[in-house]
Amino acid sequence: MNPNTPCIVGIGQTEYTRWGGATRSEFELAGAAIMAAAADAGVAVRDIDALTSFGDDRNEPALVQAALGIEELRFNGMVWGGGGGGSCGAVDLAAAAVEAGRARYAVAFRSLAQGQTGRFGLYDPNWRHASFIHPFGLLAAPQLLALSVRRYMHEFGVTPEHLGAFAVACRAHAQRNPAAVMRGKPLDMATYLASRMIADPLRLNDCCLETDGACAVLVTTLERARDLDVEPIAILASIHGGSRGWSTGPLGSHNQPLADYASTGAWTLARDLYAKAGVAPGDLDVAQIYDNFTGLALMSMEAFGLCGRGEGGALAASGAIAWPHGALPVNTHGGCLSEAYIHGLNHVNEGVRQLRGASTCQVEDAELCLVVGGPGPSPTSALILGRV
Amino acid sequence: MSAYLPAGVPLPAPDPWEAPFWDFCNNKELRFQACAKCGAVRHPPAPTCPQCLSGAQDWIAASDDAELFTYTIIHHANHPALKAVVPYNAAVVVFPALGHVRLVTNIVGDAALRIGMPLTLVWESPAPGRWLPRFAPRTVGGAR
Ligand SMILES: [Zn+2]
Repeated sequence: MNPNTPCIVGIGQTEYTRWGGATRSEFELAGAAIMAAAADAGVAVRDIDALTSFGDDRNEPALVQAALGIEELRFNGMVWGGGGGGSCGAVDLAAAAVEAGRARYAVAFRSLAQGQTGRFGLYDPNWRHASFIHPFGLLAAPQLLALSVRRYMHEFGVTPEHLGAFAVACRAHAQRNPAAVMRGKPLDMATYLASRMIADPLRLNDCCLETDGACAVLVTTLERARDLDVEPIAILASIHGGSRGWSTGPLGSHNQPLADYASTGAWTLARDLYAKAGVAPGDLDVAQIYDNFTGLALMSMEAFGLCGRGEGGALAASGAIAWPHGALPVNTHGGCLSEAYIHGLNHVNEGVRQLRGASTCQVEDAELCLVVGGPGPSPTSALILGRV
Repeated sequence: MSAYLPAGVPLPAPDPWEAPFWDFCNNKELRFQACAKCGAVRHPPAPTCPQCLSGAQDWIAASDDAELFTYTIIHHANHPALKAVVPYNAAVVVFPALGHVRLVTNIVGDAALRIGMPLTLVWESPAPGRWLPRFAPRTVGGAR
């Protein structure tokens, strides 16, 4: 493996609580996650020299560098877009920085305390394309994305039980994860089907959590990683972008290419990701798929080749994504549906744990993990992580 | 006759390049932006044509072939103005004659919704001088 290969050598996270449950400020949570990632890697916090984030994170480097005593900031960057589309993209920026020799120890982080800074489920007048959705009573993500999910179910014969199978699998995984907000609250199909409608066809249990917490990932080159007392996890490929005409897609414009309406539109991203990593979907051992809503996660599995078009529901219902017996367990931490909503950076942390052999739903001898960021608006992002 | 959604729901507050669409609406005209050079129709509006990059614009009248592309029935309102009217629908309407340009809207009345159902344009006023394009079921080949 090329000594310049970017590797994740540290992961950090804070406690996760339901929104409003954090006892520390969002800024303090950011610092705590970054310090935890540095400690995990055995890198001094002051030696971090690049900071990246996404999702309009409020904790800009001007604050973070000063608070953490970072000696020299050599690179920083933010993936545009207010949602989780940039989760893997922030890691992609960190990887690009170390691979290009612009920084030595790059940290991608996300701190999101919805109890302090506003819940995503509330009306936001600054939403992109607001004039074309708000006057019609579409004022929150589940309402907008329900339009995509309805069309998806119509085109491909996807059923409520298909959506529920994804939610039930994530919840089962969360029961083993001490960090998961929904640990101790198991979910079966009957309970799923009985949960109240939010925006038909999306029920309460199709929707991600609203939580407080922070995550961070420390990236360096394989060559530098060799000097650390940690097993480096290689970023075999990382990507962020979007395809033509997609725009804000189901969260705003609704005029993405017609044939791709009932999809996440990430087909070209997936093609380029696998080509760069030199692997195929069939080579994967485990996957962490951004799950703001069940239906979108099913479409995401299709876009990234875990099954054919329209087969995401059948894949979930087959048990293939459920640990421990499924052929390709998905969201082994519980995902945004049942662990926490750290805008998908928690999915990256879980990918690293799987390849370290440290997940609470450990896939035996996991060597390759796909991580996919938030679907819908452009840009979105993804990673393929591998053992060195 | 009262409007499908009550007063107090946020009104259009367009960016400058979106304003002509709403100016036409307030005159009860549904028009989409089209490229004056190559004719490509686009929505939402944007300053340039993604096909040929021309900034020259026409505003062409919506075709009368609207059909229901997708919809949701919203049970959980997240805005105070809407709490009293749940459940209500929101929909995406497609215009096949215009290259499948899509418009987000509501379907008025209480007919059962079905993807593909033909629709006809109706205008509703949420505030003095303001008009929103909504749709009602259309009987194919005859008057409603
Ligand atoms: Zn043109």
